[in-house]
Amino acid sequence: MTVVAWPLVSRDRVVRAFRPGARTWSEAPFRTLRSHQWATPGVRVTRRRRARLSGQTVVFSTLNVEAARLARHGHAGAARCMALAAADMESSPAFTQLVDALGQLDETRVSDILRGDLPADTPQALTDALRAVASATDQLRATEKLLNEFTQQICGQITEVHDSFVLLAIAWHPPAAVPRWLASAAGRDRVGEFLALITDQLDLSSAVVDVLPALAVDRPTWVARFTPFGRSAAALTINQEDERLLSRTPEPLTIVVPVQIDA
Amino acid sequence: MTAWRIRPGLSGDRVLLEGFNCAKPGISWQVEVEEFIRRDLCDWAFAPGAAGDDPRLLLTFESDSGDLVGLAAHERATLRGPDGDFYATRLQVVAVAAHWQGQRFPAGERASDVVMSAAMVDISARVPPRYARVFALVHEENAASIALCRRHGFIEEMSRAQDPSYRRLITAHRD
Repeated sequence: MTVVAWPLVSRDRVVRAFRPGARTWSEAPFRTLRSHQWATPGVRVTRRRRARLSGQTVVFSTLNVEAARLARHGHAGAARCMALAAADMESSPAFTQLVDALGQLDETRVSDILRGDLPADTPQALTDALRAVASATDQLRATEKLLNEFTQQICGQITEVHDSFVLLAIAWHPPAAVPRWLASAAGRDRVGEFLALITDQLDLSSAVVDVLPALAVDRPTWVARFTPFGRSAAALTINQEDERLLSRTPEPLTIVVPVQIDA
Repeated sequence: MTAWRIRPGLSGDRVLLEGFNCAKPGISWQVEVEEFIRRDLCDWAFAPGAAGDDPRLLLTFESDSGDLVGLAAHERATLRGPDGDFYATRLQVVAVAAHWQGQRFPAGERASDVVMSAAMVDISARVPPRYARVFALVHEENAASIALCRRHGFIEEMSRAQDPSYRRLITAHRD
């Protein structure tokens, strides 16, 4: 099981990453992000009821939040690249499927899902698309090495709930104690729930601590597709033409640089 | 003394590998390599059940700085055809750190050639000996890796893997 951060956010999250403490309804910070191509315009979820338009909500890939952080830290080029990655993500088939599925829901449920609430009766197509987008987002986020210089994102599962804190179990790391009110703000303060904790440096001695809901991505869903790294038969099965090639005698290996390997 | 140092990977290298960068965001076939290295490579190399395949992980460092230049991994593999099995060595992964890509050492050796040569020298020296038949799966859009493989003798090609976007390059055979 892999735990990854929620892949969808509303605009106020993007603004808050760019201007911590800013009024999130203010237009100016978002206009700045857009004018520098540090954020996408988001994707409009058009909700319909009985074939009639019943409202619209704009959703963003969380990669926009990372782009806004990069911009705030002065990495304009990296912020633009990350916003481009967000745009690619928002036009991907999985994201389109997710937006289509959200369009079938009423406004309250769309808001709930944006906040990380997936009720048990959520359509399977929506859940599958959300997981696919979350996995891809996590992979993309991990490739921007600059982010690791000033932010740390850890995702885990709540294993204990105390009066003032919850304990977050994280793969390969010691558990982290998170203030309970902070976990509650992400709608995650019960044992078994998944939470992402993001520490974003402000200066050498201070940081913003942010939380996002998280979700588990079952390993089998992404290893079921072909991977060039698997030990399964998929990579090792050959045909008769290959056999004819391999029946010949292998040439000695080519060593371009004669190197020594320490014992 | 050379400008690089190569040593086998250790299970304690997990933390080092978790921070390894070799991919550009948005290029899925680069990202999957980096993800494999960060998340799975240590398990691939050191899981007790893997020992039968003789997995080998080799890390190349710059001598002066100790900077991780790149890594290569390989293991014994059996290619299974309709009429029989063929013993081979599978190049599991070869990756050069992002900031070393396209770079050379002071004497002119390409960083990528040193990293790849580590794998080829190690394969040549395995005891018991491996078949001198090495193959690698490379994404068809990964022109840099395809060129690297060609420089190191992967000049023939088998049928594509289950996913046709991956080419299976293999070292030369003669009649």
